[in-house]
Amino acid sequence: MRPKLTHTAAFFMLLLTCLLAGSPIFAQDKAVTGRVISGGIGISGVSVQEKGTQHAVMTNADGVYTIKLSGPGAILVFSSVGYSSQELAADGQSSFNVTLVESDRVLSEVVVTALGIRRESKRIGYAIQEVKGAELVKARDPNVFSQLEGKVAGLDIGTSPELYGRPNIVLRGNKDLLIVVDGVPVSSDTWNVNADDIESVNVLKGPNAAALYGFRGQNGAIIITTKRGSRTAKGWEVDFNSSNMLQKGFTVLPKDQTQFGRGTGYYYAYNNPKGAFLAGETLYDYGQRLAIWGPRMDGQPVVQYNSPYDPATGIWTPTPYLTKGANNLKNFLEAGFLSTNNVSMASSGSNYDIRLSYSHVYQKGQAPNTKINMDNLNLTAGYAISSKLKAEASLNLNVQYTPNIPDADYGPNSYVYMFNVYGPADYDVRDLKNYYKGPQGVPGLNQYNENYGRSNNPYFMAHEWLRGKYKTDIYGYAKLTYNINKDFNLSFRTQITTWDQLLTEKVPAGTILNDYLSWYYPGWYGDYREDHRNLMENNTDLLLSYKKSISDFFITANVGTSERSYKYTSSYETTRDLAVPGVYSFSNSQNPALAYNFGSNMQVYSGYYSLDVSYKNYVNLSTTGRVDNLSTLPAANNTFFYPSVSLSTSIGDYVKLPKAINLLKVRASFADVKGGLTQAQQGSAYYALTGNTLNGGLLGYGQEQFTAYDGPSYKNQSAYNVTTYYNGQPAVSYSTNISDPALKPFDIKSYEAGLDYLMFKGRLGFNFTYYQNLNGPLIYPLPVASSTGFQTHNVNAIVSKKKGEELVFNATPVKSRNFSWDVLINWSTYREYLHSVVGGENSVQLGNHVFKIGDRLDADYSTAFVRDGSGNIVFSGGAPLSPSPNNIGNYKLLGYLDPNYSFGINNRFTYKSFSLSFQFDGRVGGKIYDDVWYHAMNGGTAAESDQGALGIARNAEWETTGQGSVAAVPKYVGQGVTIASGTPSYSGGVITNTKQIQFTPNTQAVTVQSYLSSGLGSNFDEFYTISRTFAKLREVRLTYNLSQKALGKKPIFRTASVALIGRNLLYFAQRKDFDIDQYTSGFDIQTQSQTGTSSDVTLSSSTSRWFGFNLNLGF
Amino acid sequence: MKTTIIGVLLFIGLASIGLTGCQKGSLQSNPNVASSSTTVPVSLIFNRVTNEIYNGGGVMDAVSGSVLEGPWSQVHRWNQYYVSLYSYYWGVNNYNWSNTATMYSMLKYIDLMEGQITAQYGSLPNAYAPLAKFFKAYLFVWYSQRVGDIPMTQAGNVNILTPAYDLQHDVYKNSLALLDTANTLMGALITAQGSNTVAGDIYGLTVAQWQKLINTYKLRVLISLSKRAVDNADLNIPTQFANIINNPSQYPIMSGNGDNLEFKYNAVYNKYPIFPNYAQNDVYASLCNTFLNITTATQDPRTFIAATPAPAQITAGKTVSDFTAYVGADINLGQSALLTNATSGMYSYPNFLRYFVDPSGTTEEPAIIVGYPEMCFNIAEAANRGWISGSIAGTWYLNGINASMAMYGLKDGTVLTIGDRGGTTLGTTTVSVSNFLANPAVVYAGNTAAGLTQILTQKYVAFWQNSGWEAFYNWRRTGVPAFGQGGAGIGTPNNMIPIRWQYPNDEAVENTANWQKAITSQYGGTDDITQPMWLIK
Repeated sequence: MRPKLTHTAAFFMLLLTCLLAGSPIFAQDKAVTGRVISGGIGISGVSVQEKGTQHAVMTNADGVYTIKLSGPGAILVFSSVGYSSQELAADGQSSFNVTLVESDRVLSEVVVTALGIRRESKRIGYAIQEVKGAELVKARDPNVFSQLEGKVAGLDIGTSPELYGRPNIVLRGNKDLLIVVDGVPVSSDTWNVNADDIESVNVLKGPNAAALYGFRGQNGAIIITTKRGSRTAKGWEVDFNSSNMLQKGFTVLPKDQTQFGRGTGYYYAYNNPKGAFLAGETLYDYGQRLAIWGPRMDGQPVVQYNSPYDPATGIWTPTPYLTKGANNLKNFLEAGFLSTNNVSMASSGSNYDIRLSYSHVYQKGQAPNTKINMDNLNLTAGYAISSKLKAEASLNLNVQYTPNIPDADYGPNSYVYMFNVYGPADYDVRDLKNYYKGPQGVPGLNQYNENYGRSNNPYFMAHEWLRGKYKTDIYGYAKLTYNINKDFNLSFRTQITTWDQLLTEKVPAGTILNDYLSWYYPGWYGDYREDHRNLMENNTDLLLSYKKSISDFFITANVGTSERSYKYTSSYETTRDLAVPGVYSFSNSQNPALAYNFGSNMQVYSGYYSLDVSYKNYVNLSTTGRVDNLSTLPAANNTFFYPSVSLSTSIGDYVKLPKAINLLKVRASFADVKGGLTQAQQGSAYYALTGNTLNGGLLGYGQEQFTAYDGPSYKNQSAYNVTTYYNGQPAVSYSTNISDPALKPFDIKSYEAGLDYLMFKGRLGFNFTYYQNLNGPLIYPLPVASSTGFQTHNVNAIVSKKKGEELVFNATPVKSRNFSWDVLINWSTYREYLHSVVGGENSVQLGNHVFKIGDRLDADYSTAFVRDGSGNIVFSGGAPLSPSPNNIGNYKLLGYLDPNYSFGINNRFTYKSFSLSFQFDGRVGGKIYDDVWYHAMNGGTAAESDQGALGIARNAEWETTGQGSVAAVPKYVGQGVTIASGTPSYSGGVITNTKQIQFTPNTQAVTVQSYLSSGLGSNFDEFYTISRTFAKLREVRLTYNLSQKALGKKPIFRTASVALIGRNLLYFAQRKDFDIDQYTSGFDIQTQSQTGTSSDVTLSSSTSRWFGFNLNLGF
Repeated sequence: MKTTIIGVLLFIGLASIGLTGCQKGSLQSNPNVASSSTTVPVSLIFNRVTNEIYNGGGVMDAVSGSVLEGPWSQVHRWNQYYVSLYSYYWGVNNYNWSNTATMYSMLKYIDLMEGQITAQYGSLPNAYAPLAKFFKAYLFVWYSQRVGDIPMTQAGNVNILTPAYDLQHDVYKNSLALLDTANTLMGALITAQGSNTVAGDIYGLTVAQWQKLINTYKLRVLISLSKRAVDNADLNIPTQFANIINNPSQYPIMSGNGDNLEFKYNAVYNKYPIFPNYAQNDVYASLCNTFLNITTATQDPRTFIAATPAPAQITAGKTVSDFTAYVGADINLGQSALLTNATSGMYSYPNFLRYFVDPSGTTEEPAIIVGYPEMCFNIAEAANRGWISGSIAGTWYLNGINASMAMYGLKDGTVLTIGDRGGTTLGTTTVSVSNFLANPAVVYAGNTAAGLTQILTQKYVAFWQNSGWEAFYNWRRTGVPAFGQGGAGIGTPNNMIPIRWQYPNDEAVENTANWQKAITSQYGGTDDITQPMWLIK
């Protein structure tokens, strides 16, 4: 028995080896040698392979190779990046010297288009731009999409300054792009794609390119192609890539004054007895909620949180009041750290390919006790069952987990709020490290802090108030391709994209929340919250492809059908005041816990075709068409067709052009995409049910967490929501929107034309694209007269027209044997206008303004100063005057929100084995509201509140208070005029009868505090609206590639490189107190939202530089 | 061959996996909510309606221009009970009014309610049907008195997106008729079924109390039409008023504070609105002198309910019982000047121990929406004006004062603890209601103009932090008490208080023709906040 078993085992081993090797190992071997040269020099690293076999080798440093061949009829293939491949028949010879010709790299570029179809870029009639995966694996950003900023014309990435913050991805001014991995749409939170697995990223810039994806491709698509097992000499390869980066030094940081402390009216005392509302409470400072309008820190005696306290009498002994924490934020934050490590193994043979890749990302945040971890496992395999039948599958498993990430917005849950808005320099944050220190601190119950009315001990927040996030994200497909004959092949693919996400929040006992939470009271026991979401989507397609050359015509055609099945569920629960502190359980709630759940289903059936016809190389015509049946729309209008057509011609192929010109292509395309009643993102179950954010409706603090959704919006339904208004009694609320059962899908018609130009063998080139979209009539909740009882009614209401231009310029100004310089410049711009309004109206109110046809939709109209005939600001009672009535009729144009243009400049210098590349990018023009500045001024914290005329007045006022013992004499006189006589009348925020009014210079003094908080306050958005222009030195890489020579004759490493890397090294902007980068665009027609006005920007964290090194090894 | 078979099997296998994703049935409607055709208990809709009148028009849907009507809201600054010293925390004092919100969303809920009543009750008598009529009248009057002519007959219909406007005269006429019908239906219901509470009602009134409320409210509406009592005979204003007073069995009215329509606070769900955040910013609000000048001049013990003594007065040696220690701020001053003065101790602050220490409404009074004291003063006014016979004005005037005192538990000998701004006890004072009633300025002067001023003044005092806009509307109609105006703090171009709101912007933009007609016929073509409407011309 035993020998037989051994035999059987041996046989299987052998069989396996045969299968894996995939080639006839019993064939007769014959060696051939030779040298590969170009321009008279031997070229190293050229792959030499016998066609159809596993026989492959690389040339050595001198270009010499030796290869064994299977027989005299063998065909040799010589290939290397940057050179045209060559095939030669061995014909029984034993030596070959081959001369390779440098290829016109750009000319023969192949790009990936919709449905994963590869096409030669010169045959494409619409805008598409590629970024190689290799560009994304060195100077790492925690988020791979953030690394695309500046690399594609028209694609703007708003990198989030927050740890684990999702970047804003905007293409041609539109948010919410379709993310496609290996031909199939994937639900992506932007974290579930690993840069090391990316072969290339192709950005399909508009509906013209993405029309085959149906309504999901309305804004264009990002097509990611992953790496596959590749054929190498060894038959396998292993790659290791590691980046380690340190986050240190600020490029964006609000400047704070450090002279004046906490308080109001230049008065401060910890636990001011005139501010206690818990009877007899002397230990805690619950009774006052103060901004930074206190006394100057002159060393005078003041009762402070750490002054001596006598528990028996409840009496505090004052201590000198001094600046102790000028660097509190810097002292609190720690250096961030990012480590990204990937190892991948790949192999392939004549009938299989396989690649396995594992990555781990670890990021430590700058705030103490914050981190994220990510594991990503990617497995791709293909196996040719026969010459006709091929099976492929891919699976990506992504797990993200963090026990604590910080939150940044306006509220006591946020470090920006507590340091930059309400953060005085009158305490040293390092004194708070022991956050349960007495006498105030009680372990597990009460924190030790410098105030108890406004904010929390930051270390207490870092270690006790924890926000966890746990996500498992899986996507993958299985695919069969059957070659019916040499013209036809049929493929069937089923795919799944699914994820499960849990967000948790533990609010510890004694957290200071004020009335941010309705059930909060001082000394409460805390809360526990969970937000659970699950999405599952299946896409199944059947695709028949046809390829044929008929005389001078080359035809490619595809006909397909697909089914998309979608399910989403979510729940949100919170306790209301824990019964036992520290036990984070829903049953441990003093008042009944609150729970919400939401679910949605959707089904889309589609049929589509694409047909590409080329005549010689002269003309390429492509058309696509798709029919969708979408379950979200009213039955009468839920099936619709969208066509696209594109035409391109390479003029150089039939007109004699000067020799220097390699390519002159013109292209034009049209697409029409429809859709409706889906939404790209979804918030918590509470948000999905009520339309209110948790912040706005339930908690009063915290950022709503949005996740990728792309499911039904249910926005065209009149329905009752169950709710409670009074004492927990059940009640209903009813839609404020009138639904329209005859609603039609929206429609986007896109026209695009472009020119691609290359000369000097591709060393100089540009492509230019002009596009114009007609969006609409969009489904829009248009305002309706309130006397109907409703606020809005759904209508296919407005059409907008968007015009844009994109320019990609590339050049290689210097190219010599040892040194080369490459430049890539991306530039883009767009404008969106109101084109028409339903019912032939010529205006429509959107937000703060009644827009007329032809108006730019990103116009920011808001509150502005009233001025006299000479431009002086008009004051009344010492404060700037507001026009009357203070409503939209008197709002002024503060500017336009969209940037004028975006740009990205990439430079790469290569000298021998060294290469230095850097990217400088930014957006120019436009306006944005500086919320950090406004709140810091209002809070008395901003450096400007103690500078210039304000600073002089503030110090002068302090001198009048007898060190805080009497009321200050107002000293600030706003520069401007007041109305001496006459009654102004207003139109558009402007005094129309300035001639009838007598203005005299303003002489009324007010206190700086009153001026900034009540007078200027938030009443004049004009003041805090700043330029949106910014630029960043985004990334710098200094790479040393070990040459073949350095690696030795029998190298252990196939490739090896080390790089010094930096990200976000420099930031240029009018004000550097918040990172404008994150606010990518100004106006979004699909969500009818404006970004950058006072009502939608919030506080955000400072940003820092990243430094580090990258190590890349290939075995 | 073999591979082809494997291939076919794989295709079938994959296809069957893929197709299991197919979902059956209509996926268009939202499975998480009740569609408009669902049977919804009337009480759940009624619960919303009862909430809405406490909050004020548009507040629950956060419509722009909506103003909360509860205690310490913006309304009570416009009523000149207190002033804000700091706009960031307590808002502004100025009267720079623009577009109003409306109460039409309540009409939407009433229409839904009426649909459900028909479906669920048929012709069976129920309390919801008459209450629907009462709330309709309430919402139309609420809106009309802010702007003038409003859509009524065509309002609340999703098939008429541009409703025509009804004359303010007709709005009042129809609303009074609705109130009359509501009373009749309520009477019949009580006869048939007796009096119970109504499911969904957040105020917990019985049907009999609701009937009293309807008639009491009607008295408010009738008295608000005092300027139109003579020249609009078709409205029969004095007669309708007298009819209610003279036929108590047919038109029962409130008999005491126990009948008040009032919102009661609770600790978890509906906290007293200024707890706790405002307590921490209590330094930024002072009493207004329009109110305090009246109560201190008449030695009114309600002074101690509302205010703390001004710190500078206490420092200067005055006792907490000294009425001259209570000083209000002049709303004419700009906020900055007010803050400077307050910081130096010039002004009285809100009574900390009463209004800032408790979330659940045990130390504070509930928020009255329509109350018995007001009714007493309305009857006194009607009697003063001669709408009803008999010398009863003085009696009702006293009833009103006494009811207001009783609401705060004030009687002779009551000892009140007086605290300072932060709640620290400064001392106690013993209340004398009789001293106050004996004050020559308080003793009723008879059915003269002076007597009327007394009634209106005492009504204003009784409106302290309650009854929404009533204090303002009474001033607008009668000029009593004299509101402060003319200074920078008023914030209008001429620094005078406006007397109406602008129509909602959505009416101007989406119902343009009707809106244009309304402002042309009433205000010469501009939506002018300084021009009087028919009601107060």
